[in-house]
Amino acid sequence: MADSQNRTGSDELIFFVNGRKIVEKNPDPETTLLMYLRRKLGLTGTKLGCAEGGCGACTVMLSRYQAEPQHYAVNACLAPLCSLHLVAVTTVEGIGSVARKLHPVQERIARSHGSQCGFCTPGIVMSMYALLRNNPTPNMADVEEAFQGNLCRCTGYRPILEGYKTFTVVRTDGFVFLVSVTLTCLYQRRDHKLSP
Amino acid sequence: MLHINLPIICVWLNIVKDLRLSYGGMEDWIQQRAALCRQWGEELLQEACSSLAEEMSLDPSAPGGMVRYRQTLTLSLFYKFYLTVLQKLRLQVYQVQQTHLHHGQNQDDMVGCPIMHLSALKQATGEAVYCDDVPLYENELYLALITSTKAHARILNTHLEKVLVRVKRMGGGFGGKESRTTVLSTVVAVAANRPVRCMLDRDEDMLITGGRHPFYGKYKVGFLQSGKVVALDVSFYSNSGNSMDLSQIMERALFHMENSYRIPNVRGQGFMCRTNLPSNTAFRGFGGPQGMMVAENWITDVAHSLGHSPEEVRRLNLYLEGESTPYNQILHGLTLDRCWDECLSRSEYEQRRAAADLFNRQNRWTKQGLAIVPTKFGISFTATFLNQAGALVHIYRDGSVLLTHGGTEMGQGLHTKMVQVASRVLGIPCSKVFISETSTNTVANTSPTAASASTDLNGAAVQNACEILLKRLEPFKTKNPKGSWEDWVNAAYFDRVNLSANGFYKTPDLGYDFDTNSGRAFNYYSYGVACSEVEIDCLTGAHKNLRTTIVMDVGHSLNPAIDIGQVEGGFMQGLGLFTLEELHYSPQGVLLTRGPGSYKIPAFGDIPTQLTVSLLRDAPNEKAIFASKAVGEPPLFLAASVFYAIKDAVRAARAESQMMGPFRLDSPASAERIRNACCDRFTKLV
Repeated sequence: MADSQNRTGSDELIFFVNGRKIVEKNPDPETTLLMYLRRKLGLTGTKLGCAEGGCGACTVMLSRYQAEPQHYAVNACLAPLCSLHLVAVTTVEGIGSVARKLHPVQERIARSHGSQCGFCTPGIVMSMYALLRNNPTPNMADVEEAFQGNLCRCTGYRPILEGYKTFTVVRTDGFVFLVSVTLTCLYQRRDHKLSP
Repeated sequence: MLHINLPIICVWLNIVKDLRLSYGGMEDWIQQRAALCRQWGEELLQEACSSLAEEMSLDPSAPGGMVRYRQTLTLSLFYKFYLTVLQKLRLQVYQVQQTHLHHGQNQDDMVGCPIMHLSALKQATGEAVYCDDVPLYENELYLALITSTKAHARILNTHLEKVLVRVKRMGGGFGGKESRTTVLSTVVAVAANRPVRCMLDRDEDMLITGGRHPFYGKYKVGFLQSGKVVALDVSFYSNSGNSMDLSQIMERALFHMENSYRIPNVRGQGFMCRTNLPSNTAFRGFGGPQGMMVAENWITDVAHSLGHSPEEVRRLNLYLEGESTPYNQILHGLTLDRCWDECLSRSEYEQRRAAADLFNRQNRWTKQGLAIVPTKFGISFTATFLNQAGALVHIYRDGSVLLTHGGTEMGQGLHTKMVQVASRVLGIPCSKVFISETSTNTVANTSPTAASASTDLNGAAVQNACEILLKRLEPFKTKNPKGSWEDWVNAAYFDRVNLSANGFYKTPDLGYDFDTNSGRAFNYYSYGVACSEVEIDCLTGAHKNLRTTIVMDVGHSLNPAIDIGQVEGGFMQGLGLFTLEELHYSPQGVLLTRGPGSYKIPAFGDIPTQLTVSLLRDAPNEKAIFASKAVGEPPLFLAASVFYAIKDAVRAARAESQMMGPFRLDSPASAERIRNACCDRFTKLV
């Protein structure tokens, strides 16, 4: 809201990226969030696919606090940096990593073979993550709707939906059943380590 | 967008007092106002349609094109509204269907172990590094592009041998990165002595780098009353753009001009047309899908002109084991019949056919269609000299193995399969085998990662190198049978045994000669069959992909998860090719479709509601590594089953207007084309 900006009375843009506070003294009004993340912060997980908000490769999650936290999946390629005052940005790097710990949203798409070339994967991960932050018990229709802004050229989408089906919930007569998919083959070869 | 606003004021007599229609998307917002004072019935419909047809005219050069389609839509959409209102007034039984999508489902038979793509986890966390993710150099320059219709310089000499090329991974390739990167790299190689970065934006890439060669096919087919085809004379014309580049895709189109059908007398000609467009290049299938598409078109024509079912005519003409292609290659190890029969049964073709026919009898304005289509794809580069590959394998003292080969990773899981091959030959777990990158200083004179042959070629080269190393380690294994891999490696090292080896492979018995029409063009073939069901809206041309069943012969799969990924991914890309993706140019030849907003690739909602993929069991391929088969390109053409299912549905629609026999439907089967092909009273008005 307007009053928080008047309080500082300066040209400082304050926002958060993966929990880290950023203060930009003279932000370029033409810079997009995507350019800032990739070039200034070196967070290259978020990708540039089309620069017109059509492919979703640049999807990040924005969170605003207005009475209560609100989370949105957003195209970073279209988000002006200067529109992010007091906004928290979460990128794919912010929810998990190979070295530290994978977030289930990252792990399941990988293990269900939903990532081939991988270029669309961070965007799809963040769309799913934002959905789960807003709705921890989505149904399959919610998942399909969440991905309307994400394109993939490699996988044919089926394994992505199959992997994320494991997050969905089916409600029948007041009972909640977690839909589980047999992932036995996917968990074999645990000894396999990653090459750099 | 077309919107209709129509208030009916006087309700109980169903008489329209005031009728206002607004249409958007017809150049300007056009408003039409007509007070009709008629009852809501046939007369009103006819009057409204005739006056719409008269008033809603578009200039032939209107931006966005599709003039006839848009004009027809003004009538069709009004008609849909008319039917909705009519139904509400309970005057008749026609239904306007509203359905919702269900999620896809899949079943697969897995042979071998479906290990995860080696980079999958890194890709999911955003840690996988692609070209533009490389951190900025302090002194780097950025290459910006200015386009021109004329060349402004000529680069004569570049010392290729002094250029080192390295690639870690590509975010997809599909053929577009096979040769068109030279547009940038040549310039930089000549001009730059500082690091230079360039990343093509989507619109630049679509404008400059070219894509699949559009094809025009003309054919004459001779056939018997039974539906058996006995003669084919086909000519292909490809839109090659302003340069040759990889326009030899025409060769492969000719090699696939018969698709999976035996034709005793064939003449095929290919003409590469030089046009004033950016040069077209390789794309998954490399001319094969285009050639086979023409084949499926004439075989459907044969069926339509005889009044036989296309499925019967296809089955009648399918190749048998041991038969010969038009280029005199004998088909050994043919599994077409197995794939066909299995697909027929898995898709429940007979029941689905009966159900679709019943649906079509009961519905006038939506129709269902069904088609089953085979494919056979020749595996080898048609340029014989490219069928070679090398590998370089180092074993380190800690027991880790560094593997390098001539293929590049673009998501197809090639590195993963190569690690699996090395791990099997050396007898060690995959976790000990690493691939870092592909580079011209580790393997020389590499062939492009193309023709779906990279696993075959590089896999055999890796096998060769690993077998050499295994032999060197043999004495140390014998001396210490209970030892570990690391023990043997270290023993070998201290005994000063060479723990590096390079491997090589070339495909034997290849070499087709166009002049004598003899010699083996391909090492072997990959086969597949797909059956698809669709539903079309005859008034708008919209369609829904209901169900697809695929049976694919991939031999003994090295990695079923990866292979199924290739089958599904290839199928969806074919679906885009045959039903959604269309490049549009202005009358001046300027590309209008430059991004996802205007060029529609398949999205999550486009996958068939039910998609079933099966890999054929017990079909070892003696011609390639560990009995596997190539899988990158062959499945793409199977999406033609969706196209021909649409054509089948259109045929049912045309039958309602007493239009029988063969008809033309070009690819992609866009909403515009589908609508225009479903000839009815509205299309006749426009």
